[in-house]
Amino acid sequence: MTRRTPPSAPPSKIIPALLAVAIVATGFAILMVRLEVTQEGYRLSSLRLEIRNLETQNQRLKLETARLESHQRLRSLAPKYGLAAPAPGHVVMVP
Amino acid sequence: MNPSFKKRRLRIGALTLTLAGFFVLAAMRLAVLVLFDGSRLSSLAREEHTASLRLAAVRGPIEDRNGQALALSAETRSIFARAPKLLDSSTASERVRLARALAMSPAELEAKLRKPAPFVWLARHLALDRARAAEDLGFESVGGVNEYARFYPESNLAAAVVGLAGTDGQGLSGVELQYDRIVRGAPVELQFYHDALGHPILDSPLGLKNAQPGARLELTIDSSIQSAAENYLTDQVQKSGARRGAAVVLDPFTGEVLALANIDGANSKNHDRLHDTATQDAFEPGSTMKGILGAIALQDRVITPKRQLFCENGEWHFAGRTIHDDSRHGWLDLGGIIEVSSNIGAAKIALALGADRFSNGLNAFGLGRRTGIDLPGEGAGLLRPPSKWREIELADHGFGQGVAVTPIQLATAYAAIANGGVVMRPYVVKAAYDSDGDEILHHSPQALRRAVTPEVAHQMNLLLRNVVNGPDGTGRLAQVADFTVAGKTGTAQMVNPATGGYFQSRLVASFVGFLPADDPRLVILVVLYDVAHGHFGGLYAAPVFSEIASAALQRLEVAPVKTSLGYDTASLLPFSGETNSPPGIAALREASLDREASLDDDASSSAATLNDSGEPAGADIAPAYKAATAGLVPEFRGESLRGAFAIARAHGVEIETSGDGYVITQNPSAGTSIGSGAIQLTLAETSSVLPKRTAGRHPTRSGVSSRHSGARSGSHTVAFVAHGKRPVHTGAHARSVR
Repeated sequence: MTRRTPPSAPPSKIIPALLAVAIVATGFAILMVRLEVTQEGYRLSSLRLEIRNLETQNQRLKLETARLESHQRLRSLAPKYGLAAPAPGHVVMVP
Repeated sequence: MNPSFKKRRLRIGALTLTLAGFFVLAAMRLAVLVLFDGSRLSSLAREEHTASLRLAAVRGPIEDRNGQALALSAETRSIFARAPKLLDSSTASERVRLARALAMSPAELEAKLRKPAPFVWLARHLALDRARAAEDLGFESVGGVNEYARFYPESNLAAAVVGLAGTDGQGLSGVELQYDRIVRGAPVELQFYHDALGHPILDSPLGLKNAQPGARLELTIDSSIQSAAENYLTDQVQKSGARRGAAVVLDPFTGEVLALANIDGANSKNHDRLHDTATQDAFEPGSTMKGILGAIALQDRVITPKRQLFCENGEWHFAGRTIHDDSRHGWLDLGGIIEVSSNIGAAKIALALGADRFSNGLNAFGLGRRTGIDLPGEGAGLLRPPSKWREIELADHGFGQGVAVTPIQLATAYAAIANGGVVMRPYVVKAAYDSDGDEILHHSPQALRRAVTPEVAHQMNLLLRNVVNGPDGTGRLAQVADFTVAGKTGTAQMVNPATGGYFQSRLVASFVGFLPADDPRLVILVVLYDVAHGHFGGLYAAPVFSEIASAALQRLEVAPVKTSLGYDTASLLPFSGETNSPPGIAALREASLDREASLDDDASSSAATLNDSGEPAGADIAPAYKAATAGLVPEFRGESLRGAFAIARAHGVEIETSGDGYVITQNPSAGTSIGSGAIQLTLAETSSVLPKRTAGRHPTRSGVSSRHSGARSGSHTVAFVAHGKRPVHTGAHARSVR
């Protein structure tokens, strides 16, 4: 005698579909985040380069300022503008 | 069983076994890769997508006390080449273009490329534009790296203090070397992911760090004072023909070095950054030692300011040698000895002190040991153990011969006199700040030891004023308008290293002093090395002192304080036991130093002239002196009429004079046997006679004696100067020190 099993409802295809969509969406999100991070990395890299260039420029300008203010240069320029060190007695310090 | 089913099962089984076999093989391969090749492969993978970059730390700036930059670093680019590859892959004309871009000759470039090395630097520390021009030529085997280079915007200002940093950013000398550890900063090795084109992707988990910049150093140097010191010193080095010069400017109360100048006479434009004369080179201090000697003698109560010593009229035979003064002096107190710079007086004080006490005193002032200044390679000078001093050496040390000091030692010793007796450690770095501006190093004034009591220091302060302001002072050219200066001149013969003796006509001229004397703000030492005979410290170093002092006082905005310019015995602070100090009297007695009477009326009548009992000295001439001069014509040249008669009386000889003023010639000459006739003296007026000194001194020789110069003639030297036309003795066998 053959035993018959009762017919069951076909499995739902919605859950796998949702799961697949979720996986794809998650993967896409991760990809986007990675892409964004990479883009930010490039931007950060260029900003750092710019900072570095500005720092280099700043160093050069400081050096140039120091050179222009050097005693040796000012002393050589002074006669051209009629300037000289004050003679003894020309500067009086008030006690 | 259904045959078709059976067949299907076999196929499934075979497939399963095959797959299982593949799986096992894959697992085995995986195991091999992980267990045996894992580290190598992971390393390869890491190298493939990661890169590393060494970020050099920028060297910290060095600034003077007012923030003026003395050393700065800036980024440059260095160009390198893989030489063999470049030679193979380029033509001669291409390399000529490369040489032009690098601003070098083609031959120079070829020479670099022909070196037997796979890697050569073509040019270091180029400006970025120039380096880019070279790189843009497109040679595959030419590359560039960024490097920091050191620049000194003030050129050679304070060159020896600031020092030098090498091409690779390491300190080589000066502060650059002394503080290299904190100035050089910490470079960082940066690792990052990069893409297929090599562009860095800085989201890497490998960590991002910046190189730690070096600390900023703030010096105690004032660049304005430094500049003035270097300029005035340069002028004088050129004028005097000195081989080199050094100047030190200190704050006596803190030990801060405000200026430390080194000038090379051969080429004043190229100061030596690698050598610091002021802290490394020792010289015989000459008469500048007398100020220190006086302080030690006062401290040990060997002498008092009022005690007088007989200075043998300029020539003293002692221990088989003859010690000379530049001028003839009879009885002099300590102030007089220092003012006229009597070697004989100084020698007698040194003998009274004895080797041990003198040596201990010198040690207390810091001579013979390093000051501890924060500069590399400081010299200790030369001060032998007192047990090895012979008697004549002890006498010589009294006027600064046979010992050697560095300029910074001498300045520090005088700073102790200026500040009330405390030896301060000199220093050139005030503080250091990290890149965030936080202070990471701070130097405070450090008292090393007390050399003398404040009373003694004050007494020496008063006595040293007369060197500059007294009528017979040897340092009158050190005067500074509206300020009182205390100091001491020094002139010493240079040591001949070949013979171990002294050069006859090569001198070291110096002046050390402080001002304002009542409230010292500055101690200044000027040393001129290897000047010709006649270039005395009072003539050549003292004016430089005056000029530097004027500029420094203006810079520091020190208001003048009018004080008594002269030395006045009555103004000295009380000094307990000054006339009856047993050790002092005993020492003087032992040395038979104060038994002699003066040879002139002033000295013999001086109530201030004391013998070993504290009573007025007797009229007896020292036996040694009498024996040495018996039967010989004494020296009259340079004496006034009155002084000449006093000498004649003392020696029992007759004289005949003609003219007025001072003796310029005598017949027979000094040192010859006394004949039967009178000694003929010719006198002449002088044009620059200064006021006479007080009683107790020899009444003559009151002119500007430091202007004398001359060459040897027989046993004495006679010379005339433009102003005073005054003759002077120099040693026949002893060295002339002033």
